[in-house]
Amino acid sequence: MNLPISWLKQFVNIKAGAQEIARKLTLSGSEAEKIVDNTQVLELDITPNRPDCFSIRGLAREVAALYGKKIKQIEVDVKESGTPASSAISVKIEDKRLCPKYCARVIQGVTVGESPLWLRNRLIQVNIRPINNIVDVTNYVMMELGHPLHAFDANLLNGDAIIVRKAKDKEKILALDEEKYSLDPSMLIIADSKKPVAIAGIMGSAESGVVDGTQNVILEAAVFDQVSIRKTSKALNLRSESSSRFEKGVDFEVVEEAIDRAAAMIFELAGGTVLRGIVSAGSGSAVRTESIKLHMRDVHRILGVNVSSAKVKSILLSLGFEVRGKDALLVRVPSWRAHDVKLSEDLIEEIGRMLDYNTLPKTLPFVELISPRMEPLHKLRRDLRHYLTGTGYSEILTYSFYNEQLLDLSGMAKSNHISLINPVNDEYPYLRTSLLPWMLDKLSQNSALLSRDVFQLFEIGKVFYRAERGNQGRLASNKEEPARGWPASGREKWQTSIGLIDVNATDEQLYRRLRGVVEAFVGIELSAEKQGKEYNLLLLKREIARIKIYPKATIQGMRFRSSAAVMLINLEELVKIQKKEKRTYTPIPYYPVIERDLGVIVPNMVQYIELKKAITSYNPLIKKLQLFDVYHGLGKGVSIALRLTFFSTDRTLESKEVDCIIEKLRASLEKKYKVTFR
Amino acid sequence: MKSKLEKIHKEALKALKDAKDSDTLEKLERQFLGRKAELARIAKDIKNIAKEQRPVIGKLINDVKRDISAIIQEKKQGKEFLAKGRPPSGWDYTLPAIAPNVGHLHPITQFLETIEDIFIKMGYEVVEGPELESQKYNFDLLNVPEDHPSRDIQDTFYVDKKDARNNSYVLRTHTSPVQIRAMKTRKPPVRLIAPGRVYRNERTDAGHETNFYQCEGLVIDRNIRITDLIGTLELFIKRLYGDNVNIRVRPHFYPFTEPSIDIDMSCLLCAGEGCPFCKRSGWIETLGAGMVHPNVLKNMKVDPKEYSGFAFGLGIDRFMMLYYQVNDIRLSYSGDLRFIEQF
Repeated sequence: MNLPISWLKQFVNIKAGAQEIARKLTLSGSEAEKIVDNTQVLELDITPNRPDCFSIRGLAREVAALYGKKIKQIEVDVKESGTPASSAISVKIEDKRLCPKYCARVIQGVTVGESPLWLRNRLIQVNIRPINNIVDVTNYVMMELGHPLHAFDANLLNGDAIIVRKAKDKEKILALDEEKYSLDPSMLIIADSKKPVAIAGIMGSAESGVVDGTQNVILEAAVFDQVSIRKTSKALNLRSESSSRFEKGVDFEVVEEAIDRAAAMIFELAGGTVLRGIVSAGSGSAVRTESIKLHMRDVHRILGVNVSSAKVKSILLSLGFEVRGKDALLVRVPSWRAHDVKLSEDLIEEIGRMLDYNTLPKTLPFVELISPRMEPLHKLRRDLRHYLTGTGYSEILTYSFYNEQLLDLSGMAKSNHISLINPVNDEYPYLRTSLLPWMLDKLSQNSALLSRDVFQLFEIGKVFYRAERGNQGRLASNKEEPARGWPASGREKWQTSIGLIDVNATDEQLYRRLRGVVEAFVGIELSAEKQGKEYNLLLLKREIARIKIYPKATIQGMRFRSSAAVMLINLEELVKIQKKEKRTYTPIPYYPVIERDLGVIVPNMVQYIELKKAITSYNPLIKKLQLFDVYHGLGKGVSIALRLTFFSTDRTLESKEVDCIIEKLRASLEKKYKVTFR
Repeated sequence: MKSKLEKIHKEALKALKDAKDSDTLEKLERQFLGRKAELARIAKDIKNIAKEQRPVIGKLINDVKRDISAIIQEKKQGKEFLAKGRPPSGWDYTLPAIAPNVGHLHPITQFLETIEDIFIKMGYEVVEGPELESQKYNFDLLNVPEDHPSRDIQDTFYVDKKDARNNSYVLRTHTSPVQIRAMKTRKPPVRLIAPGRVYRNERTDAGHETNFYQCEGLVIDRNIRITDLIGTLELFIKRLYGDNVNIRVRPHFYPFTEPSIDIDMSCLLCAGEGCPFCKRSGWIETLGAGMVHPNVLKNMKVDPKEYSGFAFGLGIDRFMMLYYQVNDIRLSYSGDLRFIEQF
């Protein structure tokens, strides 16, 4: 909303300049964003709860209150003559809920022409294009008093009845913006006996508008339902200065004043005869202004300062409220504040903003000193985040939704995806069920941008899942388990994805590096199983993480220089383990510990897990087995290096004894697994 | 022998005097003090000298050695040699280190954690809620009217999943619903913050994203005043940006608070003088806040006559961008390492 200083000063007698007024308005709730037009016009950002401030007079009331001044009343003197207007037209409202009040005036024999310069300038200052003296007056009064008006060419109406009714289905209107709109019965229109002449409160028709040569004018000032105007305006994608005011709510008591003011101005600027009286229908006031009880103790309790009741009264009076009482005040709300002041808290806000919050002391709450709890999952995410960056992974954040191409990489059916009803540009309509697709995308994207051998990324975020439902709303199949880790009802949960590319590493090395990342974090060796093309890492049969490896150029549209590996960690499972896993101290062995390294060449068909079992269960003196190197370059088989830790809890072990065990262990392994030793 | 030594001494002094760089200096050091230097040879030959002269010559050799060595050391400490030359021990400490391989935390989460920590220290609990939210929690219980523009499909993402009342779920448009959820299991006094991801259906550009992060705060107790809110937020901003930052309070409007305010802070670049960054106003909009609306308190089963509270909300992306002077919000969600590795 633009506020020309000269127009403002027509209502309030103050000497302050634009800068000063801008500051005061800003600190009382009408933020001045800019001062334009050679410091003569303020551009104000008016909050939607203050429809009264979408007018010069409304803003003048604010300024007057801020400066302790009285606002000047407008003298309206309509020079009526001739026949009663009611003999020229009639008004009928078919839906009083959508139009509680409709007023019309008739002005005959006007001379349509250009408005005087001062009027045109004022309109330009408030961003309205001057058209002709009649239309300009309706706009001028709207900007000044906040009530939208409309003017029709009386001669272009069919008959002399104005009917406020709902539109017929597919009824058409060519509006003043030269666009054709197709209406429906939810929309309110102003019609003559044959067709719509205006979309009520939004825009008039081009066919009945006032143009050069118009002689007889019908002026309209009405009240329309806020919600209905908003819905119609949205449905038609048509907004106007008028519709935006009706949407926010207008002052019921300004209707007659506005139509009279406009009639008087038209008479002055365009001549003609203003017929006697206002033709009106409906009289209801949809918003009733009520009296609010305001306790001084609540004012003090919420604002935190001891304002006197005299000060409270003077503030409220300055804003147009009527106040009675002393400690418990009875406050009557003026008609122009009926839309936003309904509770005592609303009045407390009026007092606060007029006092200027910046002048109040700044305090801190007086509270019990509580040590706050921390959600285990929140803490887990934070720990994991710092652990991963410490081990060389960088954090990315990606969108929570993706497109069909990425959906295919998620490993989840389309029917398990929740989708957006209204995606932006239809771009990413599916909520992600996994962080995997975007991780692959970002690995690919960075590979294209940066020539590096190694990329290490991770993301922590929510994923969403819909349980598949059959026709009866039950799960599609009872046998079918919901997707791993998801409850049958489906919902959202936290996940972590870790992406790794290393040009110099084999697929196995990628797998083992990712596995090491989660194992070192958990502090437990997980068991692994292969399921299809994925590797699952489990603890006590619960899946903690899953690793997938994508050989080079296997995903369409994505480019890696070598294989990419991604691990997904199920944080909701991980947090359960962390809760259960309580460490207890194991006494440090009293007797010396002996370590022996074993270089084993294992044939391909033998799995490490078997070997491990055989070694650790071979002799109770073998307390620990640790893998410390793996080498593949042998042609056949894998060379692994193991460290065995021996000790006894009741005596000092002899080196010879250990060597003897090793000797027998080797023989046993050779026989059982066909391994050889280096 | 004596004159020979004196000659060497003289030569050395002259040569050292002319030495202008460390290479020459090192060469001279080898020439006069090295194992194959003349001095070393004389010292070796000392056994061939008459016994009674040995101590004198020996002392003289040592004196000459010591003197040359002292001059060389002194020269090495000289500015010109330190500045350009390799340091005396033979390796270049100006070569940068090979940094350990550490990753980078996303600047958004760095800011989230910083903000969380400021409030945790003041006794605030960190609470979270779902991102897929019902309209009841996202709007209704927060006193947002049925026909409020924020519910438009142009502003809110709706999904094809419905709640028990057959209303579509939405991607939460703010972290405020967490207030209501948290109060289902809590009674005043409460102090909590709710950080997390929120969504708006907007066309993306440098200033707008469909995904971004917010942090909500809520305090409910007896006698919570608006001055407590202003004091708390001032303290928060000073902890985050430093004690030189000032705040300004502007009345504003939010459906879930009454009275409602906005908090501006003095521009980080011009300290309130006015510059292009703050559109010459000297102030930057940072937080929305207010006293919890009595209707919202009632929805939390809290008696507004007995208790009062304040709530505030802030955009993490904006705070982060202001701090690092990032000019495009989309960079945060690009996954581009050239961006992330700067933090």
